[in-house]
Amino acid sequence: MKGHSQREADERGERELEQFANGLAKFQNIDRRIIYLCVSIAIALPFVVTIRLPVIPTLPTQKFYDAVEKVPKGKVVLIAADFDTGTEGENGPQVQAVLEHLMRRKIPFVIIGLAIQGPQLVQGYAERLAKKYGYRYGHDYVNLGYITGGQPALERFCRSIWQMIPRDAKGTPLSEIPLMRKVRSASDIGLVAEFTGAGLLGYYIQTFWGQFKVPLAQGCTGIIGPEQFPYLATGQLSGLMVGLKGAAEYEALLKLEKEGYRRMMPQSMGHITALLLILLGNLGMWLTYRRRQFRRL
Amino acid sequence: MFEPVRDFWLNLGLIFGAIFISIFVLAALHASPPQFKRLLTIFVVFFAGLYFPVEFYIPRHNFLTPFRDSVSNLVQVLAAFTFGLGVVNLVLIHGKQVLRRTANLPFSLAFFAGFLLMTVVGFIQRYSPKLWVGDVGAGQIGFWDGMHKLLFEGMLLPLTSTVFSLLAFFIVSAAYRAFRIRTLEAGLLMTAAVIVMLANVPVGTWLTSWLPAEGWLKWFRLENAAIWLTTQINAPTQRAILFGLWVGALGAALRIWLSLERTFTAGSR
Repeated sequence: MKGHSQREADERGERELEQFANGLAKFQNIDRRIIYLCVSIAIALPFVVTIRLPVIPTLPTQKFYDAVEKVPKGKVVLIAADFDTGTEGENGPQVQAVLEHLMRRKIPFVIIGLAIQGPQLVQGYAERLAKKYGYRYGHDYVNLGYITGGQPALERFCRSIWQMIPRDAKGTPLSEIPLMRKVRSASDIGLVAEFTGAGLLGYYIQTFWGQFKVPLAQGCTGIIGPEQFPYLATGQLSGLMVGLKGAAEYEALLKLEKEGYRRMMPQSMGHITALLLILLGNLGMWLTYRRRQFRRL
Repeated sequence: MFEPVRDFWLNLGLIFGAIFISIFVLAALHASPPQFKRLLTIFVVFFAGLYFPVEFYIPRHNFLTPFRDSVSNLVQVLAAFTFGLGVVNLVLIHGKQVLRRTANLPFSLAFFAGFLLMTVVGFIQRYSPKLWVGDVGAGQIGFWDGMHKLLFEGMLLPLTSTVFSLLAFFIVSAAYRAFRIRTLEAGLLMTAAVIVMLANVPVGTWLTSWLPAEGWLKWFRLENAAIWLTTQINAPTQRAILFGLWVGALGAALRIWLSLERTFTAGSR
């Protein structure tokens, strides 16, 4: 009698285990709508629950920071806003962190862009920060706007800014802008900080770095980050800020917690959700494989 | 080399003259036989492509250097023409949808509404910000500036960011289906992906933050492991890929320059 009940309990246990394995096996084919829902919840969660985690700066970002620190007195920084609203989520916090650094150090800067919307976006950030640091348009920063023509246009810009762009983005002649009186060519630029989601770095390496030896630093989107590391290794890039993480690291170096840091938390949750789903998918696949093998035996 | 013309009427005359000559040249080209068109394309491509390398490789300030700015201007003008071409193309495609009243009609109407609104507001804000509204007080924002801000920062920015952020959903869904460890190579790829993904968010760095920041154990911290992977494994591979890519691009450029690539000179014939 005791043996019979033991057998029943064993069978019940096996059935429950089988059901559990069946349930897990389904994880290898989760409906994409459930995946979208999981991602939505994960991304929205940090907006409801405050999660604080440390951001540790990595070497490429530290190098970018050091490149800004090394800009000689009397020279300007060229902000190349080669991004548009599509990648603003990543490039925006990067530029804002660098602008904050420049304004703290009282370094003047000039904005250009090989993307149409970039200079306008950066001007918006500059205007917001200018109030805090007392920066004045025309005296401490200038927006020269969009440059068409790619590499040949940049080459000409390096030789003579005044000939290439006689007026700023507002239409004011450069002769009437106090800052531009001392900025005539690439030799007056202490650092080029390029922000992009596209592969435009080659233009700057061929012109600013290759012909005029102006240091370059780049803030790029996470997706093109791996393509930029070879230029960091060769020294053609003085610093590199990759994705939103790069912006958060730069803010950590500035002892700030702004857009980069705030946007990191939803991204953290998104990455964890992706990893958990991948893990579940693999678990489901492995269980199905094991059961198939077991049935064959 | 060429100084800009300061006289307004002369400038206007030159612009209209250039337009009329361009129309005449285009009409003549259109009427010319295909063989002539092909030869002309080959000739123009060869000489246009010859200028930059010859000017660059002959030591500085050679006989071609004085034309550098003019050629750069020409490149800019040609690049600007591509915008016009893009607009014409969009108007043609969406115009057809509107005229034929297809199922895509609402999208085409949305395009025309957005395009016209942004163009009109943009031009007024740039060239005549006081149109119909007069002066504004100090510290106040003008009507057209406000409209432009509303359209650009209030509509375009969130709309494009929304479209771009949809990628997050597709990437997670695709990664879930594609990242299956079936082989050793897939396992290695997966391990590298997990390290880089975790290291790119604070959660990852927090997971191994208890490890010492100095000494050999620091390489087991996720952020250091990810940097090692990207700089020591990924960077040389990327360099090799880029090298191959640019050698290939050089070959393709040579083929186009010498008109061996016939698709743009003779179409599919």
